[in-house]
Order: sequence, then structure tokens, then C-alpha cells
Amino acid sequence: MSKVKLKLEHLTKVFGDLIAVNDLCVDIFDNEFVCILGPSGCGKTTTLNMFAGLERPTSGNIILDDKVINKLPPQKRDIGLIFQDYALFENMNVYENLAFSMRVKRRPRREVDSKVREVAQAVEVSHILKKKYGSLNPGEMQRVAIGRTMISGPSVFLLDEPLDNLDADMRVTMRAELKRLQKDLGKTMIYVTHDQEEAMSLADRIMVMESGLLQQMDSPQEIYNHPVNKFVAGFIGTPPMNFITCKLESVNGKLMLNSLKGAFSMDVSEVVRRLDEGKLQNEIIVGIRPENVSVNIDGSQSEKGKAIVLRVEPLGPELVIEVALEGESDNVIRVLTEPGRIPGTGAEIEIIFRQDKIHLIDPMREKVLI
Amino acid sequence: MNSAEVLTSKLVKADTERSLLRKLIDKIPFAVWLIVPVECFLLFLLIVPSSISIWLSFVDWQPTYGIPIYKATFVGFENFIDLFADKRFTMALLRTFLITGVAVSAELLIGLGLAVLCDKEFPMRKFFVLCLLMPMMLIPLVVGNNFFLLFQTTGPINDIIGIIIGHDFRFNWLSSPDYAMLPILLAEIWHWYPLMFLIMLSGLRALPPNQLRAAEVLGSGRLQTFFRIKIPQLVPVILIAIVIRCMEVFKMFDEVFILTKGGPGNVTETISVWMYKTGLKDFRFSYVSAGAWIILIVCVIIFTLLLKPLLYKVEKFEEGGSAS
Amino acid sequence: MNGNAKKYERGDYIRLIVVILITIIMLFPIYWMVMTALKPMDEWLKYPPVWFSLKPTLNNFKSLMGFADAARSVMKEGATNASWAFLKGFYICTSATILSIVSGTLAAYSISRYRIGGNFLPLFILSARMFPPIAVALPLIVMYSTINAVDTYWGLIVAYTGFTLPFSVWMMKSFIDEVPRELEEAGIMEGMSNFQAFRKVTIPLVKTGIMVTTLFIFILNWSEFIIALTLSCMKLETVPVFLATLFSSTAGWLYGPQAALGVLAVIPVIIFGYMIQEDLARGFTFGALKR
Repeated sequence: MSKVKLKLEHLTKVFGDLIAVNDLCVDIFDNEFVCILGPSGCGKTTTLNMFAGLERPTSGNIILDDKVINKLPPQKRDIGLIFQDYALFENMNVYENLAFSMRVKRRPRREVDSKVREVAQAVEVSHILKKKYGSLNPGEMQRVAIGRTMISGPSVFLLDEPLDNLDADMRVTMRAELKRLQKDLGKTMIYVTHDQEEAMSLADRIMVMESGLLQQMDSPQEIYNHPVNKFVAGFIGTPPMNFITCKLESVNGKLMLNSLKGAFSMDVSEVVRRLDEGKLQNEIIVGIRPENVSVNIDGSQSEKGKAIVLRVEPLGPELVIEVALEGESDNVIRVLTEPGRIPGTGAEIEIIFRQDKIHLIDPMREKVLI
Repeated sequence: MNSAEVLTSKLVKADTERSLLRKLIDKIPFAVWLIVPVECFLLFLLIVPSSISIWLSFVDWQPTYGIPIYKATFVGFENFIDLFADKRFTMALLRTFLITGVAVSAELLIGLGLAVLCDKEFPMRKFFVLCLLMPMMLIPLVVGNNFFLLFQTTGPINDIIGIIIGHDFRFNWLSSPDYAMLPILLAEIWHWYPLMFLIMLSGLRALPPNQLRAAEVLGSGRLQTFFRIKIPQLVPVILIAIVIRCMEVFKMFDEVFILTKGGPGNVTETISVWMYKTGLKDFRFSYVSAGAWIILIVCVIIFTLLLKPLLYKVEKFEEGGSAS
Repeated sequence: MNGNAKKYERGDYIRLIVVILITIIMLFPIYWMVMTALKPMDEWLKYPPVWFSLKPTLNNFKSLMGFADAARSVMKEGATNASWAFLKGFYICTSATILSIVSGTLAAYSISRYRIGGNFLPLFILSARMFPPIAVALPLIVMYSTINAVDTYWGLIVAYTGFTLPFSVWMMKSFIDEVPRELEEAGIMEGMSNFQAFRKVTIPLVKTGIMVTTLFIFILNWSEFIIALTLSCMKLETVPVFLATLFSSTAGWLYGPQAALGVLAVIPVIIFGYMIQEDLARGFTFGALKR
């Protein structure tokens, strides 16, 4: 078990009436790549700023290596911060940018030079040391930004949506590089993003936040398969999870989930058995991921599962079909299948949910089962 | 029938004429039309007077001679030679350069100092910044009058000094051959330091904050950030401000004229005052025109020698600096 | 563990104190001017100097308005009082400002979009500002007397316009530079002519720039002492000239009314100047300051 590098104890930040960060309690381990994920305004950047020392917490503690660092200014903490726009010094070339943190500590020139060249090698900017700021492309800028931070030798790297302004292919390349770098360096990285794909591909663990509250902190796989609440379930995954409001009724001794107008029905007696009786309500939200819905294009063989095709999106290796449950035009379900026969719009098909992949959600935002 | 033909042919003719004019208009690009008004002004107010001025420099003419200007006698370089030997002229020129250097430097330092002071938020900052900007809003004449009153023998400045040194201090600043320059300098500096202040402050506030934060995280203290990042990024702005101010201070007239009229004697004459006195009091138009050209040449030389390399550096800096 | 950072730390209050001290020093001359404007005549040059008048008066302001006698004794003919000088000055300055702005904006547009004149023309326009006004004034007198423009309104207006043109062109250029060309091109594609694109697309977008420049040029015009002095032979004055002639053989320089006039002439300038502070800085440095 790795040691705990960074610990947040009841961290709270309040701006006037707004609770930006609400009672955050988190452990981050050494060498871990953690992504703080959430929509705009969820408090992730504020949290990062508090890690960095650019914001002071209203209450709670930030503990680094068993030391409380709340009151320490940024330069005294053992952290490196990389901004969204990289914030390279515009009046300096690459070499000078890299050398900055050492020059500021007045290290002897020879020491600075060898260290700079060493780091330049590591981030692959050795060939552009003399290049001026204006002529760098985004990839180079990112590497210089990382290199510049690296040189000051922090044990924790903080990154604020650094890939946000890159175009799609650049992002994918840079993601891979970042991941590789982190493993090579063996440092802890905390990475803020709103892009869930990014978080899923980069992180060892993801911290999902919304409205200042920590929703879930787990490995990507766990979060995907076992989301803790409706928000996490709906936020992660593309296309997003489908939600259907259903009633839980007892029919013929079996517990059935029926959609509101009865177009969909499912026997969940097996599934429900594993649950506390007390947790069940009459109304349940059923969550199912598009890839766990299968279709029968020839139409339904039974009364349940009838759906009308609204839209078809052929995506090459995949097919997305948007359907509406019969008679319930509000309930739109997206299905992700392999390409095959493409149903026409308006056709009636059958949809079948995989029983073991259903999530039952308490309308009060609790998640119940897988 | 006939009149119809006549009418038609008239219309056709008018049409061809109009299209000729239209062709002419179209031929000249839109861009050129735009600068026609400015060109007219320049022609009228710059080119023509300059040509007259050149003519004047090489002849001997004064309005008091009574002859039309084109009948004046040609004297070659005589005016120029006389000017080089003229102590009053050369002293005035040197003096003007000196004043420019001192005044602009002082304005720069004060402006920069105040800008640094006001860069961080403090109570009622906006109000005080506006107060500090006030001197710039006044007319030179008013500034001159103000300082005239302040530096009177019976004025408040002497009073303050008297309080500081303990006994009466009645010094006639404006008639002192040694010190008369001081009120003039102070008036100019006081009048225009707010411009430097404003420019520096705007420059400081326009600095990208993330770079400053990054510097802080990397361990740079306030002073280090100031000298390593803030100042270098302000350099282009500072340079332009200096150039502009130098151009203006060089022409200083109003304050000098009101405070001392160039006196006592000619001791505080700037080049503008010299030109005014020699040209409009002594009416030596030719002499002054020649003088104006000498001044221009000297300024161009100085500009090329001193400022061109500096501005070139600014350009290179901009290339490295802007992300566009 | 602490609460929100306090709004102001101790260092900020020290700044405040230093700034207060400096402001007191810097505003002292203005204070003196206002004081003098309110002082009765016997206190103007009194020794020891009167720091705060115990018998303030509005006489100085009043006498400005009906200054016929003192003025007449000095001037040759067409004696004026301050309000007349103000009006004339206002008329001339406004006309010159408008002319300057209009031609300057047109030229600025041309330079900005079409790079007309390459590197030479814009610098040439700027160089017009480098000549000491006297140097140009002398030949100008010769010119004007030849074409009989010496005492005319239009002669003054043209001269004033010319001297502020460099600023007008350069300041507007920096404002126009900030408007992306694509907007005008879009307009042209929708069928506007070049000029219409300019008028309907660009102009509204640089409205603040125009206001700032107009104000700046108006201030410049308002203070052009020398031109008026040289060209107007005392008949067609503006305020600055009038100030200089407030000289009465009996009372020496009339400091009180002079100060009063200074106070009055400056109030509108201050008010407008405050409103456009930031843009002034940009205009002054010809756009070197990125926003």
C-alpha cells in the first residue's frame, strides 16, 4: 500500500454566498495520477488552486507528506503548477524559461546549465532551446511548461486543463505523452479536466465533483461499472447512460419494473433479492448503458420492449439507434450496437436490457445495484 | 422624331461623359480617396511651409524689408555659418536637449514609481489614481501661471523652505541666472508625469496574470518577478512613451515663456523660445528658418544614432514576445 | 484553517498612506490655483503668503465675465471679455477637431487596411508633430499673409487641424487595427461598397476610440498658444491667449482672474478626462499597450 502523499481533510471554500468546495475528504497516494473531473463550476479549479496555494481554504486542512500546508505560500510548498495556457514567460526563450526557477534561487551558472539540458532532454525540447516564445507550437509549449515545472523539483504536479486548447489529434498524442512522463518521473500528478474521456484514459483514480461536493473517487473502471449516484452514472460514458422512470410492482409473485405507460417491462425479482427491502420505493429510475441494450430489428416477440426508431447514427464501427418507447415519447433510449441491418426511422423494434448491467436508482439520487 | 434623336444622342453623350468620370473615380483605388483630405492638409501645412522655409534659409529676408519674399537676395550658407557661431543659438539647443533628458527621465521614474505603488488594490485606489492624474489635464499656460505664483519671492515655496531651514527665505527663483531653470523643469515634470504614470499603470495591469502566478509558484519573490518579468515585458511601452515625451518636451514653450520669458537674459531659453524671440520679436525670419533646419538635422542624427537601434531591439522583442 | 483572506492586508494600508502623502504634494499647485482664484487682490502676492484665505471672494470669477475695461486698455480694437474669447475658441476648436477627426479617421482606415504609403507615409505624418510650432509658424505667416488668411476663422481652423492630424491618424489607426478585417469583408460580401462597409461596420465599432481621440484632440487644440498668437493679431483670440493678455497697467498681472480663468477652463477637461482614462493610455502609446 503506497503511502498517502496528499490528504484533504474537510476542505471547504466559501466565496460570499457560494460554497465552491464543500467538505472535501480525500487521500491521494504517492505516484498516483489523479484526475479531478466535473462540469464547469463544480469546484475543481478552486480545489486545485487551494492545493497550489493560490487560494486559502475557508476551513479544513491540506496535508502534504504529513505536514499541514494551508498557510504556506505557493513557493514553499513542494508543488509545481501548470496552467491552462501554460503561462510561459513571453519575454524569454525556451532555455530561459526552463532555467527560471534555478536562476531565481541564484544557483551557479554551470549547475543551471547542466540541469536545464538534462530536463530539456527528458521532455524532448533540446533542439529548440534557443527558440523564442512566439514561434513555439502548442505541443512544444506544453513540454516546456512541464520541463520548467520539473526543474524546480516538486513532488506533486498540478495541471489545470492543460489540453483544453488543443485540437483533437494533438490532444490524443499529448495525453499519451503526459501519461508516459508521469510514469517515468514517478511523481504524483493531479489533473483537472471536464472531459470525461480524458479522465478515463489518464487517471489511476478519478475524483468526480459536482457543485463543490465529491461524488465519487475510484478507478476509472470502478466508476464506469459501479457509479455511486445518478450524476456520476450520467456523466461518465459516451453515449451517456439511459434513464427510465419505472414503477416497481408485484405481478404474479414476481417483482416487475414497468415503465410508466407499460411499454417496457422487466422481471427483476432476481436482482432485487440482493437488496434491502427497505431501500425499495415504488418509483425507481432504471439506468442502463447504451451498449448494454440489445435490439431485435424484426420487431418484438412479446408485449414488452416495443420501441419506435427515432434516429439512426452509423458511426462506422458502431451504430447508435435512438428509440422511443411505444406510447412514451418522453422516454428516449439510445442503443449502441454493432453495425448490421439498419432499421428505418419509424420502424418498430424490440429492445432488451441486459439484466446484470442494470442500475437501479433511487429517485433521491442514490444508486442501488449494479 | 428629330427631337427624339437629339435627345437620345444627348443622353448618350452625357452617359459617356459620366462613365468617363466614373472610370476615373474607379481607377483610383478607394484607399487613395481616403487619404486625400489628410494629404491636402499635409501639403498645405507641411510641404508648402517647409519649401518656403528652405528658401528662406538661403536668402536674407525679413518682413520688415518690405520686399516680396521671392525678390530676396540669395546668400548661400551665410545663415547657417552665422548660426554655428551664435553662442545663444547653440546654448539654447544644448539646453533644450538637457532639459528633455532630465525631464523625461524624471517623469519616467516618478511615473513608474507611482504605477508600482498603485498596482495593488488598496482602499480608495481609484479615487487617488484620478487625483494623481490631474496635472495632465491642465493647459500649459495654466500650469505656467501656477508655478509662476508658487515660485514668487513671496510665494509658498519660499515659505515652506523658510519653515524647514528655520529662517526667512526670500529667493527670487525666476530671476536667478543659476536656478531659474528649476521652476521650469518642475513645472514640466509636474505637468506630464501623470502621462507616464498612466501608461505604466495600464501596462502593469495588462500583464498576463498567469505568468506572474507561475513565477510565484516557481519561487520568484516580488522583486525578482518585477525585474525579470514585469519590466522586460513593459519595455516596448516604456520606449514608445519615452520617444513621445521627448518629442513633446523638446518643443517646450509655454511654461518657459510664462515663467521667465527665457530670462534672465537668455539663460533659460529653449529652442522654441529662441525661435519665437528671434523670429517674431527681431523678425529675423531667414535666420530662424535656417536654425529650424539645423535643429531638424541634429534631431534626425540623434534619432538615427540613439533610438533606431533601441527601436530595432523592441521589434525583435515583439517578434519573440507575441504569440500571434 | 483561516477564514477568507481579509480584503486588505497591513501592507495595503501602508500603500494608502504613502499615496495620500504623495497626492498631497502633487495636488498642491492645484490647491494654490484654486485658492488664488478665491483670494481678493490684496492677498495675491502678500508676504507671508496666504495659505488659506479668510476672506474668500468670487470677484475674480465675476470680473472675468465683464472684463471690458481692463481688456480694452491693452488691446487695440475689438475688445473682448472672457466669454467672447471662450465662444470663439470653442467654435474654432470644435471645427478643427471635427475636421481633424474626420480626415484622420479616413486616413487611418486607409493606412490600417490598405497599408497605403507603406512605411513612409505614416511616419511622415507622425513627423509633422516633431516640428516646433514656431518653425512652421513663420513660413505659415508668410503664406497666410500672401493669401490673406491671417485674421480669418478658417485660417486658424486649418492650422489647428493640421497640427493635430498626426495624433488623429495614429490614434484612430490603433483603434481600427483592433477591429478584425473579416467583419468588413463580410459586409462587402453582402453587397456593401467599400465605403459603406467602412461606414456601417467599422465606424460603430470604433465609437469609443473616436470619442477618446476627439477629446484628446480637443484638449490639444484648446491649448495651442502659439498658433493663435502668431496668426491672429489679437483680434481672434481663444482662451489661452486671453489669459496672457490679462495684463493691466495698473495692477500688473491680474493673477486672481487668471487663476479663476484657469480653474474654469479646466473643469470640463477634467470631467471628460476621467471618463476615458484607460483609453487615453492606449491612444497615447499608439496601441503599444495590448488591452
